[in-house]
Amino acid sequence: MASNYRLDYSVDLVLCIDATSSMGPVIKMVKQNALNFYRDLMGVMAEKNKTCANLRVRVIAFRDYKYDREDAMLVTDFFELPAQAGEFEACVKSIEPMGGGDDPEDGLEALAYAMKSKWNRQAVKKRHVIAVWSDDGTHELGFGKEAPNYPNGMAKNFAELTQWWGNRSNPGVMDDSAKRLLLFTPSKANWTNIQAAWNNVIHYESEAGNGLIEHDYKQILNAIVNSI
Amino acid sequence: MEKRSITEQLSDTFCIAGEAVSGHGEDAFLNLISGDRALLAVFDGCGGLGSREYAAFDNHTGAYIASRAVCGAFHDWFLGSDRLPDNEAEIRKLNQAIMSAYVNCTSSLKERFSLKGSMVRDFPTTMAAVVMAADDDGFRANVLWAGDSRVYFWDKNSLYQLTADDAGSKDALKNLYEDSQLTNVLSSDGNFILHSKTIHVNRPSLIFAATDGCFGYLPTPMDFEYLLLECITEAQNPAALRSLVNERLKELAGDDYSLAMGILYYDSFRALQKDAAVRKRELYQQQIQYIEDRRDDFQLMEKYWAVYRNRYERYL
Repeated sequence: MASNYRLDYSVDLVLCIDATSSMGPVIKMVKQNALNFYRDLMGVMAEKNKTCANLRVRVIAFRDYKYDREDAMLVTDFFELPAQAGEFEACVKSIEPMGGGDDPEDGLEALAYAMKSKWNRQAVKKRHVIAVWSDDGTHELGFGKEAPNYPNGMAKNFAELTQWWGNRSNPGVMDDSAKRLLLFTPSKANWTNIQAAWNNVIHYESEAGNGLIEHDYKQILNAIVNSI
Repeated sequence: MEKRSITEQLSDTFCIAGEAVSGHGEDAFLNLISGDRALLAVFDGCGGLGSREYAAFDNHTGAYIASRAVCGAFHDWFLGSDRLPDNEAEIRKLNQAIMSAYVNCTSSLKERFSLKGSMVRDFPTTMAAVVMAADDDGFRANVLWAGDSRVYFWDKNSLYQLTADDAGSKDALKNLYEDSQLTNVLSSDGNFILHSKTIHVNRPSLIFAATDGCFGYLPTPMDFEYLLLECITEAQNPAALRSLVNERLKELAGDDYSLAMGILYYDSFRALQKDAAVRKRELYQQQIQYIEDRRDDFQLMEKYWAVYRNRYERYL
């Protein structure tokens, strides 16, 4: 019977955290926000009578290929939650602010990694959310490409990364209906370009979400949950 | 044929609505008769795009305010006009009424908002409405919509979707699973299209407007029709039907839901039940029995949907 049926949701989260020295004053708050984010998201889903059958979280800590070399990009696989909650928490807590060289960071490379995550595409109702915390703008893609560990196959420039993100008419590497991008970043290049041009984006203009008030945070969670 | 008034042709009308979170419902609805016209309409404030909260409105969301503001505008336009919005001039008047309501919303705003981006819009809402007026051989039903709220028509042969969703796909089954971003909703920036179409009705049938909370949590469009048929055949009278539909949707919906229903040309509720019972049996035999225990098999649902949609999409 129709009325015995209930749709479940599958949610994948990728948390991209700027881990450069300048994040020192706010890194504790960002780590706590990252840890709270999935719990809060689930809480709001439950409030709205939406059942999440599968939840996975992946962490990307990013710095600067040119200056930080081997420490430039720390990437995990997806943690299945709640089963791997302990490992996930330990991973986030282990992120320490260091390096970074000049002011902008390689946030676009982190975003590229996030987009190419092994998303759960099988689920009937799914949401693929990328959240980014940074206190600065980004380099252009390829700024650190001289580094020996700079990834092969990286988007060559912002235009190519925009194609990876895609849009309704020309979907990119992610599922266009499922994807969401949440930026806790200042109004600096290239975050403002992303806010202006990409679909499915919410930008909270701030330094790594610093000063994020409960009122705004609730709106962000609602924006994501209500769009499911 | 002698021209009959709209009230003679409408056997009954009713609305039902429910909130996902009590006190925070973002839907609104209308069920009005004025002169020789009748109106059924639903409005669904877009909770995702309209999650921004406004201090000037007691910290309600843009979605909450939008559905009510546009509902009010529609109400005032309907009572202030004696025409169907089936022509450019009347649609322009309705648009003006909606934009005036939006000006009232935005003129009191002094806040600076930290949230920006393509997933944030001011006062977004969907709308699906049917305005009916008698003519010489039945009546004309003028359907208006923006977004993914829908107007449906039902007769003893099938359920028909009259409005094409402003979403990634026009395929009603796909849209149940993909949750695409809406491509067109009413909002205070004025960047929206109000779609319009007219059908002629002169036979026993149902016509109703519904927000996605009504049909969006069922596995297929066939199940939505089946749910309605179950309610019609189980209810003792129109009041009981209203309660039963409300009860079923409350169990299912993960969202607010609103439905504004008109029962047309049925001399009695019993006559409607008779048609519904025959159609229910047919739908079960042709569709539901094959998919009811195999909800994980999307290909199977697609196979039966491919047959069902031939009739279902006849007016799209």
